[in-house]
Amino acid sequence: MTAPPTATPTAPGHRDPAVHPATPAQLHWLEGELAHWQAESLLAPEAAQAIRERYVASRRFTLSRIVLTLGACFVGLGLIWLVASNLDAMSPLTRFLLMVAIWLGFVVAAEVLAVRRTRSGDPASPVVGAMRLLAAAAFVAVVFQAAQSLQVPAYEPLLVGIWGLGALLWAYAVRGVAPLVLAVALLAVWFVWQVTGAGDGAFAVSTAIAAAGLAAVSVGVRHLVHGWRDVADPWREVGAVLALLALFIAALPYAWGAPDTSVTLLVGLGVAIVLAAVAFVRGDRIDRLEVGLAAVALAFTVCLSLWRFDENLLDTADLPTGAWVRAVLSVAAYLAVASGYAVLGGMRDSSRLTWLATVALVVFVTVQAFAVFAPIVSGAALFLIVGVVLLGTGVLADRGRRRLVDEAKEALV
Amino acid sequence: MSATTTRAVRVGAVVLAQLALVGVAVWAPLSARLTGETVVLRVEPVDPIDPFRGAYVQLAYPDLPEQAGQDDGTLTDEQREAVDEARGTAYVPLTRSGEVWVGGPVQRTPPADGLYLTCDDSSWQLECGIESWFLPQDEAAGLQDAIGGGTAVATVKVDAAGHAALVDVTTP
Repeated sequence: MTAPPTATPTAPGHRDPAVHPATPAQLHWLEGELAHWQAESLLAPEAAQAIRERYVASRRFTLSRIVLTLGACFVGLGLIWLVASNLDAMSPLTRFLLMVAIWLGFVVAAEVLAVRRTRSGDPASPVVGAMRLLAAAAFVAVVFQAAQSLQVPAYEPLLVGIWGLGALLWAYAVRGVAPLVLAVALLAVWFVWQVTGAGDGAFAVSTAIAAAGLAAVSVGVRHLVHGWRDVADPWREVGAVLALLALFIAALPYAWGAPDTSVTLLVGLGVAIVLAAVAFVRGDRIDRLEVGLAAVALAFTVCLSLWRFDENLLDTADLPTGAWVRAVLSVAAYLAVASGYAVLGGMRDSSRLTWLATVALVVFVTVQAFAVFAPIVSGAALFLIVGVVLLGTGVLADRGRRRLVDEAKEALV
Repeated sequence: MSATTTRAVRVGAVVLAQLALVGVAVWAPLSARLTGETVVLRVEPVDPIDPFRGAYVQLAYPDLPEQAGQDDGTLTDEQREAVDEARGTAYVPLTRSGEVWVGGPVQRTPPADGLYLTCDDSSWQLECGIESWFLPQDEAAGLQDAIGGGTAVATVKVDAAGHAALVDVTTP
């Protein structure tokens, strides 16, 4: 889970004129630029000071943020297991009221802290972020205790969906990033669980994850179009994780279950496609690329999930040609989508997306090499081929970058 | 209205909406508890595991049908396929038999009169919302053994829409 920073809308026209957090590197860059602009008489010293006062130093991953996030997660898990222990020293109603009191306590504490920190010019306080995450996590204790008190059967996906929906409302009410990450992940888990409840074949699992990914990316892109970057990023990034995960599962040659569809899966696919179409139409070029990537990941996932072979992987030495072609195309598809996310990370100036794509690619190639390709062309050959393809792509991308720089220089001359 | 008041109203509205969501999560058993009639069903244990909700005894009901078509050894492939496609919401009429209640065959439409359970038979077993009895970990194994004798009964509340809530499990 990401660190829990507090909200900071960034788009012009939607910004709060109060103080905004910036990383030390951003502040260092800003300081240098301000000095240059003043030296060139582009900016008065008063204006430079006013700009300076709008930003406060904040690190994304300080020790305090990491510890506070972990602490909030641990307390949340502790509350879940406290409910799970079914302490019969208290009546079910008393236990429920106790959980409601704990949850409301965290809600009030988070809000009081947020107001105080904003007044003192520290809107990016990690303590506020942790309290907001804790309030979102504590909500599950209320949901689970209500379910325990009324003996709702075990393994009920609706409870996760309700937790996700509650966390989502809370995240938007306080513009909290960490609760939003939690909410998006929970809603994705609920959807996949709901779909697999009707049929848990490979097709249903991977397609449900890919549909959830496309829907999440599309919602995130729509938020970007409105200038709500703080709430757009969790949707987009969790969506990217889901899209890459779905394609990863679909690319595996293992087949289990029949490719059944259920009403839930079809509704989910329909909703994802409508959201994607709206985001595609309303977005700019990069927005369309992002939605297109998730849509391509869904298309590849569906195709690969339907195109499966039942051969035992231990006997891959005698794989039929079709299975071999499928394995090669799976690698090509994953390479295309993961590379797309790496490029998108560069275009969006989002190092997290680039790192996600890189890690996904490394894990995918490694798993494919050991699980699938080892008996076919050997894992070494696969690494060599993928490595050469990536190097070639990098050289071409760098040539494009140099051409852009040259064109910019000519335009200036 | 000041910014702080607006914020407090917004958060208060969200808290109320979240509490309403809790009601949605437990609507069926809550409705059964508040408005339902009490029936007693014989139970037997299965096995208790849920890492996030704790110890429980998974209950089976020998006097309720397992699934539609489950007991018919004479169905053809086409008939079985039709039965499988019809799976989903299942209604089980309840009739009194001595001190306990027993379920009739699965129906696809709600019975016109009498008590019935609204269940779901799309998975491997008939699910009526009364399959789990949560209790402290140290008591779960003991109750499971006690229920294993085959004479335990479950007290269940059933409302007019067939929603059921498990109220108690007793062993003689």
